[in-house]
Amino acid sequence: MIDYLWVLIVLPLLGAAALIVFGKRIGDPWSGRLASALVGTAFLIAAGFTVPLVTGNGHPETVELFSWIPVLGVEVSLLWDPLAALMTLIVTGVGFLIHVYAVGYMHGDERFGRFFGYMNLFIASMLTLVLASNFVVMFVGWELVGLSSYLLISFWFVRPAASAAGKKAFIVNRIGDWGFLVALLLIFAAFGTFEFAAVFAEAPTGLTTGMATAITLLLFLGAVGKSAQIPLYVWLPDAMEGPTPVSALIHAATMVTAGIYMIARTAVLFGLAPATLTVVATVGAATALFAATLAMGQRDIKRVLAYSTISQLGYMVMAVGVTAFTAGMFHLMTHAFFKALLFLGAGAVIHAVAGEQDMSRMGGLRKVMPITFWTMVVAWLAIAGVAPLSGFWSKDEILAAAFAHGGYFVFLWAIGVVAALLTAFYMTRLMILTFGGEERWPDGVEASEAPPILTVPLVILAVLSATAGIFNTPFRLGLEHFLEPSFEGVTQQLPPAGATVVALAALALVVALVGIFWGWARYSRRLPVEEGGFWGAAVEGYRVDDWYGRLVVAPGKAMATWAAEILDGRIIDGVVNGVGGGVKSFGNSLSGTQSGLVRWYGAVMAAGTLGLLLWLLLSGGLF
Amino acid sequence: MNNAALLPIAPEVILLAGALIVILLLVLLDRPYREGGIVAMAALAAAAVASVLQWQALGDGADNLYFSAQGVPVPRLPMVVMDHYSAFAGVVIFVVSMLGLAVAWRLVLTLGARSAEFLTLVLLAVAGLHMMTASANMIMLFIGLETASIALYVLAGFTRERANADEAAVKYFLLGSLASVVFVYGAALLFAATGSTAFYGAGSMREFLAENIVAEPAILLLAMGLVIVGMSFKVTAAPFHQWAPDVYQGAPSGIVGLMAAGVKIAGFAALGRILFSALPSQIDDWAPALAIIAGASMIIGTVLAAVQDDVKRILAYSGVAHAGYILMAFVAGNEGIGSMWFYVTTYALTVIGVFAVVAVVSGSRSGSSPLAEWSGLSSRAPVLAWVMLIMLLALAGIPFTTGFVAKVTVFTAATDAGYLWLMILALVTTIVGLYVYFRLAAVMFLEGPAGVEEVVVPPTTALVLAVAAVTTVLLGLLPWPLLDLAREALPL
Amino acid sequence: MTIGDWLTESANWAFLFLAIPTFVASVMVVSSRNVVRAVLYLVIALGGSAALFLMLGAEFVGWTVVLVYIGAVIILFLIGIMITRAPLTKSVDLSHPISAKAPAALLSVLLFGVVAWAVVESFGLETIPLPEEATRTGEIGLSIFTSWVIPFEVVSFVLLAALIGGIVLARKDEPAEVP
Repeated sequence: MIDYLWVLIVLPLLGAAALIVFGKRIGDPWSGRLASALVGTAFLIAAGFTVPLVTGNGHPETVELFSWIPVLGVEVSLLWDPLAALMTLIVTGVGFLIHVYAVGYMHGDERFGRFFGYMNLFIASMLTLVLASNFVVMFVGWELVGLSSYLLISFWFVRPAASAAGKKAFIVNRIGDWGFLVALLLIFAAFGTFEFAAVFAEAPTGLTTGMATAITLLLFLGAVGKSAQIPLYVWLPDAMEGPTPVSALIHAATMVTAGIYMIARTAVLFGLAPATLTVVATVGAATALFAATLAMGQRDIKRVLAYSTISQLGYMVMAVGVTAFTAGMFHLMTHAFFKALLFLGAGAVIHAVAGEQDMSRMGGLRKVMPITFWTMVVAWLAIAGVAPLSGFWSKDEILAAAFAHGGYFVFLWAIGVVAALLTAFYMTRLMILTFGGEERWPDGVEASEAPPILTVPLVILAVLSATAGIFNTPFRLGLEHFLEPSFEGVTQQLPPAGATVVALAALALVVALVGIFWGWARYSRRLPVEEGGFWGAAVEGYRVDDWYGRLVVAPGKAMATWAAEILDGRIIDGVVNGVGGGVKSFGNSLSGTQSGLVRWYGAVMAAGTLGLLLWLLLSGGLF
Repeated sequence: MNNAALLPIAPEVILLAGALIVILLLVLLDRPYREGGIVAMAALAAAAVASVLQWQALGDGADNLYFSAQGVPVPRLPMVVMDHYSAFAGVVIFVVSMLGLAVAWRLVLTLGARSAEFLTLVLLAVAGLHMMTASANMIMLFIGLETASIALYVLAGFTRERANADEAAVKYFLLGSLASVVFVYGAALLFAATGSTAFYGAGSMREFLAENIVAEPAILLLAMGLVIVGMSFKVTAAPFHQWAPDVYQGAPSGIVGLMAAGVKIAGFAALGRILFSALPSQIDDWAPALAIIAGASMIIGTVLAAVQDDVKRILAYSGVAHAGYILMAFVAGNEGIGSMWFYVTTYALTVIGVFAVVAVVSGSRSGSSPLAEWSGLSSRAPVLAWVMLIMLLALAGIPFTTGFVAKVTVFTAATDAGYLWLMILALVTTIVGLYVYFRLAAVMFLEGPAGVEEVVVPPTTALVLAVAAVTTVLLGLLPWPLLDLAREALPL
Repeated sequence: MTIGDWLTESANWAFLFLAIPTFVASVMVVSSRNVVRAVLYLVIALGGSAALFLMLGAEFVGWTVVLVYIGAVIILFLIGIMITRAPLTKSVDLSHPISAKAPAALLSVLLFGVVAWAVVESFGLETIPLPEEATRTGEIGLSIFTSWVIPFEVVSFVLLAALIGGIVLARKDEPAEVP
C-alpha cells in the first residue's frame, strides 16, 4: 500500500495541471469542487497510511520511485514516518477546509479556475517538501512552494501592491534559499550523499562541530526566509495582499511552517551544533516578542494576524532551538488550526463589510455574525493561551521546555512570557474592535452572516482549535510518543516534571488572563486614539522596510550601476541610440563608434588578455 | 577515391553547394525568394543527415578518417577529422541552424532581392562553424573561424536602414578582427613552441608535447593564453564579451538566435578541440586559466544582466554567464566533454527559442527590444508568454528543465575536478541569476499590457517555439538519451 | 652572446638597417595626423617587413607583401581616401586626447613587454638555423596543392563571403514588401 505514497502528490498535481489549463472551461464552482475533492481524497489516503503508525504496527518507510541524477546518487524517493504523516495530515486536512471555504470566498472571481489550480499546485509542492526522503527532493518542494506562494500572493496582479508583494516575497526568500542551497552543497561535500537516512546515520561520527555549525547555520538561514523570522520576516505582512484563503493556507497554516519542519527533520544535525541552537532559540524568542509589539499597533485586521503569525512562528523556532522538537511540532499543529480559523474568520468579516480591512471601520459585528463571532472566540482564547484550549498546551510546553533548558534560556523564557502577554492583549484588541462596540461600517454596507460554505469550515476548525490540546498534554504525551520514531537518536528537551510544570502553567494562564483583561479595560468602553509615538511607529512596521531600502537595496543598486558603467563602458542602455541614432552612412557611423566605445572595449579586451597572460606566466612559475 | 573518403567533408560540400545554388536561383528564376529559403533549408537538413551518417560510419568501425589530397600520406598532415566529436557538433549545429533559419523565415521574405545574399551568408557561416569543429589543423580551424565570422559580421548589419545595425556590424567587425588577430598570433606561437599546427598525426602538437618536456614553457603558456582569449571572444566569455550586448541589440532579431547559439556551439567545440586534442598534456596550465575566465563570466554576466532594460541585452549578458557555466565543464578535461556537449546543445535550443520570441514581440527586423514592449505579454499572447517562461526557467536552471540538468552536470564535472570554489561561485550566481529571469517573467505576467496590437506568431516560428519548448521540458525530465550520446561524442 | 658579438655579425647590421626604419615608420603610421602621410609611412613599414622576410629566406612571402600590400592594398587605400574626399591636411578627428592615449600606450607597451619577454625567455640563447637555401616559390605552390589543398579551397569561400558582404553593405535598395 505504502508504495502508492506518490498518489498523495500526484492527485493535487493533476488537479493543478487540469485547472491551470482548463480552469476557465470548468468554471465556477466546479473547478473549486474538483480541487477540494482531490485534496480531501489525499487527506483520506494519508489518514489511511497513518493508521499503522498510530497503532504501533507500522514503521518509517522509504518509497523509492526512480533514479533522477544517478551521477550524484540522487533518487526520487519519499519518506513516510510519523513526522511526515503529521505534516501531511495538517497540510491536506487544513488545506481541504480552506479549499472548501475558498469555493465560497472566491465565488465570482473571473479567474476562479486558475486560483484553484494554483492552490492545488501549492498542496502538491508542500507534500513534495514534507514527503521528501532526501535533501534534493526537499529542495525541489521548497522551491515549488516558493513559486506557488508567489503566484498566489500576486494573484490579483492588477493591484500594484499585490504584484510588488509577490516580488518582495520572491526576492527575500531567495536569500534564504541561497543558504539552503549552500548547506546542501556542504552536506554533499561532507557525506557524499543527499539521503536523509544516510546523512543522519553518519552525522554523529562523521561530522566535526565546525562543519555541523556551518551546515546548520545555513539551513537555518533557509528556515529564516521561509518561516519569516528576523531579519527576513519583511515579506510576510506584505503577502497579505493575496486572497484571504491564501493567507490562511500558505502564510499561516502550512508553508511558513516549512522552516520549522526542516529544522525538525534535520534535528540530528542541529543536535550536533550547540552554537547554532543558541542562535536559533534567540532568533525565535526575539521574533516572537518583536512581531507581537508590531501586531499591537496594526489597524488592518489581516496585518494583525500576519504579525501574529510571525510571532507564533518565533515560538516554534524557539522550541526547536531549545531542542524541544516535539513541542515545536505540537505548536505548529495547534497554530495551524487556530490561525487558519482566525484568517478565515477575518475573511468572512472582510466579506461582510464589503472588503474593508481597517478594524476602526468595523465594530458591532457580534450580533450580525454570530457563528463567525463564536468560532473566532475559540481561536482568540486558543491563541491567547487560555486553558484548556489547544494553544494553552502547546505554548506552555514550549515555554516550559525553554525554562527547563536552564541558564541563558531562562532569559528567553521570560521574553516568551512577555510575548504571550502581548499576544493576549492584541488578540483581545482585535476581537473587541471587530465584533464589539458600535457599528462603524463604511456607508451603505449591510453586513450579514456568511453563507454556510464559509461557516462550516470555521466550525470544524473551531472544534479542532478547542480540542487539539489533548494530543499532547503533560498528562498524556500522545504526540510525543507518536513522533518518537522520527526523532530517534535525538536528545530532546522535555518539560520539567512535577510541581514546576504546574507552576509554569499557572503562571502562563495568569499572564494570558492579564493580557485579556488589559485589552478589555482599554477597548471595551471606547475607542482610544492610537496615533503617533509607539502606535504610529508600529503601523509603519518600525520603518524596517525603509531601512532595508537605505542600507541594503540602494547600495546594492548603486554598486550594480557602478559596475555596469565601469564594465559595460556606458550607462545602462540607450547609448546605442545616442551614438548611432540618426547616423546613416557607413563612414559616419564608423566615426560615431570611434568617438563611442569600441576603443574602450578594445582596451578592456587588451587588458584582459594582458592579465590572463601575466597570470599564466606567474602560475607557471616563470617570473 | 571512394565515396566513404568524401564523407568527412560531406556536410561542408553540401552547404557550400547549397550556397552557390541559392545565388544561381536568383539568376535563373523570377523572384525566387521562397525557393531560395527552401534550398537553404534543404542544404542544412542534408548536412545534418550527413553528420548522422558520419556518426553511424564511425560506429561501424570506420575510424580516424582524415581527409587530404590523394598522394600525400594521410596521417602526416590531416586537415579534416571525422570523429564522434565533429559528427555530434555537426548534428547540433545544423539542427540549430535550421531552427534559426525558420525563425528568420519572415525576415528572409521581407528582404526581397537581398534574401539570396542573406541565405548564402547564413549557409557560409554555418559551414564555417562546422569547419571549426571538424578541423584537424590550427590553420584549418582559423579559416573556418574567419568564414563564419565574416559572414556573421555582415548578417549583424543586414538591415541597413537602421543606423544601429550598421553600428553593430562595425563594432562586431572591429572587435572580432582584434580577437582573430590575437587568436592567430596564439596559433603562430603554438607553432613556434611545438613546430606544428596539426592536432593529429606524426609530429603533431600533441605528439610533440607528449614526447618532449618543454623546458622553457613561456612561449607555450603565452600561446595557450592567446588562443583561449581568441575563443573566449567568440563564446562571449568575460572580459572579452563586450561586443555581445551591442551586437545583439543592433542585429535584426530574426537572426540573433542563430548568431548567438551557433557561434557558442562552434566556439566551445573548437576550444575543446584545441585543448583536448592538441594540448591535453598542459591541462594543469590551461584549466585554472579557464576557471578564472569562467568565474569572471558568471559574475559579470549575472550582475550586468540584472541592470539592463533591454531584453536583448539581458539575454546577451545571460549568455556571458552561461559561457562561464559551460567553461566549468572544460576544467574537468576529458571527463567534462559530455557535460559540455549537453549544456551547449540544450542551451543552444533554448536560446533559439528565446530569440524567436524576441523576434515575434519586437519584430524580426528590429534591433532593440525594450522591456516596456514585453509588459503584459501574458494577456496579449498567453501561449507565447508561457513558452517564454519555460525558456526562462531553463535559463535560470529550474528543475524539470534542461537548464537544471545541464547545470548539475557541469557543476558535478567541476567539483569532481577539484574546483569546489568554482562550483560554489556558480551556485551563488545561479541564485542571483534567478532575479534576472524572474524580472522578465514578472514584466510579462504581472504588468499591464503595453498595447492592444495583436501579436502575430508566424507558422515557422510557432514550429520552432514548439520544438524548443518541448525539448526543453522533455530533455529536462528524461535527459539520459542525450547525455549518453554526449558522453560518446569524444574527440580523437 | 654579448652585444659585441652580436654586432660583429654583418647580418645583424643588415637587420638593424631594415628594422629601425620599419619600426619608426610603424610608429608614424599611427601617430601621423595626416591620412595620406600615414598611408605613405605604411608603405615604408611594409617594405621593411618584406625585406625582413627576404632576409629569412621566405622568398614567396616577401614578394607577396610587395605585390599585394604595397602594390594593391596601398593603392586601394589612396583611392579610397580620394573618393571619400577625406581632408588631405591635418585631421583633428584622428587624434584622441592624451587621457585616452596614455593608458592605451601603457597597455600596448605592457602587452608587448610580456610577449617579448616570453619569446626571449624561450628562445633567447638558441640559434635557430635558417634553411640552407631560400624556400622556392615552386615548392610552396606544390604543398598548397597537395597537403594544404582543403584550406586553400576553403579560403575561396572566405573570399565569397567577403564579396557578398561587400555587396550587401554597399548596395542600397529598398526591401520588397511581404508577399
